[in-house]
Amino acid sequence: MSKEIEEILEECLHRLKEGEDIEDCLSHYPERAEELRPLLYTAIRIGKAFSRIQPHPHFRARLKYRLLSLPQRKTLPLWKTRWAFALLSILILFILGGGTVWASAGSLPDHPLYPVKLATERVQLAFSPSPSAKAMLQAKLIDKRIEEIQRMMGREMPMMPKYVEKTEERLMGHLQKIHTLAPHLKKEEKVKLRGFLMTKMAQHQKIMAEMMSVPLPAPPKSEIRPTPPRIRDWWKEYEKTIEILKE
Amino acid sequence: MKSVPEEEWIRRAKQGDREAWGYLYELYIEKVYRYVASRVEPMEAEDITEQVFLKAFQSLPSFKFKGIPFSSWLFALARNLVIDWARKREIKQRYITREIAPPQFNPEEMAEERMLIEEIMKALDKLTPDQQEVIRLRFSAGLSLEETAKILGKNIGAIKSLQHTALKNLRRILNV
Repeated sequence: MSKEIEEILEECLHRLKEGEDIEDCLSHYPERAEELRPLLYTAIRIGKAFSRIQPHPHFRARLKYRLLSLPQRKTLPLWKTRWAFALLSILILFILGGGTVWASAGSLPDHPLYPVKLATERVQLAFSPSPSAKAMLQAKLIDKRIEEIQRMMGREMPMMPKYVEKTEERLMGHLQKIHTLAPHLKKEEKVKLRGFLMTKMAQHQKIMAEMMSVPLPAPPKSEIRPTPPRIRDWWKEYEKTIEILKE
Repeated sequence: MKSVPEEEWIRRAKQGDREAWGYLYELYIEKVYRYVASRVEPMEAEDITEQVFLKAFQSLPSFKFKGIPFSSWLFALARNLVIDWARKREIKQRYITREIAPPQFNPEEMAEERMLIEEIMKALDKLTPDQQEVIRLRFSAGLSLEETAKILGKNIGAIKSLQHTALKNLRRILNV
């Protein structure tokens, strides 16, 4: 069976990297030589151009000095870190009590209990037993973040833009975590997660349309003007996540 | 020193060994800078490269050897920081002049090099985002197919295909 052109191209690029000559490389595939030759010349030209981009020697030396001057951070063995985190989490939950955790569930970023809500989510993520469970939980957290943005935007006295922005950053964070986890998911797990996200996406699309159509309230005196959420940014990331799960 | 595998250097760096950190820094600084500089404006390239290494230094203790190569982890950090930069500034990526500073080159050579780089950057702009990213990761950062696939969350076949299409398009644009 003849090799695919992509395969041969990659092999030739590897040979060139090892120092082989273009013509030597093409001699292994004379029937594809005409097609491959210009691609290899293009690759060499690109490689040559990129190789000329160099960090300035002063910058290089300064950054190295800075890095090596940073205080050392030694790590505990992984099992110790996990146990320490688990014990600390249990302790915090015990001290705060279930009622506090429950009360924090509906809090918004400006509320004193909001850090408890985030801590509870981190504990849930830490105890999720598999990449699939973690990815699904991240997907559910997207829903929570969108709900928070919707509530913040809908308030009569809009919240400080920094809270909305921070929530959007967290939302992006959940999506990016799913990207990182995607290569570790089985095919059926990807299908399930994709299905969940697509269902949610339809709901979120509606919410988003509402948010975009409602004019922002006028800023109160000496209040920072609220900014509309950067919907386009995370919506693109949202679509990309669904695309990644397709593969 | 060369016989020590990269994994051992990483393990030592995780424990706070400065020699190991210095080794990893020297191994990746050019690649990371080249990748960042190929995506952002020159004035920002140093700042972002610095952030990549500072963040890597801080996050290394949490790096786990679980099928993701260190290079993919490091370049995923770089990629995210570049994406954040672009998002925060809402700047479309433009390519003006890039740092091509090796002092051993004479001005004529430098002007020629600059033109060569600009030509490639403009050509890259005409590719799809995925094709651009594959070309940058493979040819500016020098990453393998596997490492590129891990960063972009795609399979190796998809990367090979993107690479082929990208080179075909670049060939046409550059008239090679």
